[in-house]
Amino acid sequence: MAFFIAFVFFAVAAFVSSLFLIFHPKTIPASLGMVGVMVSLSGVFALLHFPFLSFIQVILYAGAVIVMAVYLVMSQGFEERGKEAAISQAFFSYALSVIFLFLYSKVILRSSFAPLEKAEESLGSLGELGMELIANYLVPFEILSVILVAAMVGAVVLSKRSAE
Amino acid sequence: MNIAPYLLLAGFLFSLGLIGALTRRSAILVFLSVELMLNSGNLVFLAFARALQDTGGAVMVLFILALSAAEAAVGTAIIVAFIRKRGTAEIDAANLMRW
Repeated sequence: MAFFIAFVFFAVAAFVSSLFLIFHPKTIPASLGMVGVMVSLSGVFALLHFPFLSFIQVILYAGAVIVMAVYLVMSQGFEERGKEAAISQAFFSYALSVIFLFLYSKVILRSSFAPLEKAEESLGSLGELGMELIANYLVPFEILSVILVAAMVGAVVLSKRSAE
Repeated sequence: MNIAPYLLLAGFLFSLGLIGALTRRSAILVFLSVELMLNSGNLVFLAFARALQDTGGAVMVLFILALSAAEAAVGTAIIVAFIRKRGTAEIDAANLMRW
């Protein structure tokens, strides 16, 4: 029961702050809405018995990604100029997401899930995660390191001023 | 409690992120909305990992987190280059390949 109350709290927090992200006319408060979503999602991750991932979620999203977005706004001095999306565009996107949400929740509500058993002690622990990473997912792990290097080089090259 | 509420929350966040990505004007907020959609995917992965008592889903989430960090770096660089070229970060200014 306590779990369910905590879940409802985090879910409502995530929902409200994502409304901030989508509808607030200014860029910085909208990014702060994103911080709220990430923090409450990390709470949900902790409820799912993945403490390490919830920790990483806060550091990576509420820390790094949002700092980059806010840096962009502050350094470039850019602000959305209050121009709304065209009506047809907005209607299309709302219709698309309502259709998606309708079909998705229909599938979820129709299928029956077993009640959650008590989580194993090792589930989601850092040691278990590392063992899984090395034992079963070694090649994706190595590919990921190459991707990170490529992203780093790409970011430096892209943001360098060209010598014209 | 089963995992259906978690999945429903993920669906809500995904569709909100979709609305944001399609209606926001500034490239930065479009980027953040896409991150929101990615994260709802993470939530589904973790819910099923918890239900099946399998750490594999958590490893997937770790990969997705690392990829989105790389994406954030490259995205920031692209937006900076775009602002230099066009003088604005409005997504409408990116109309070179418009149909």
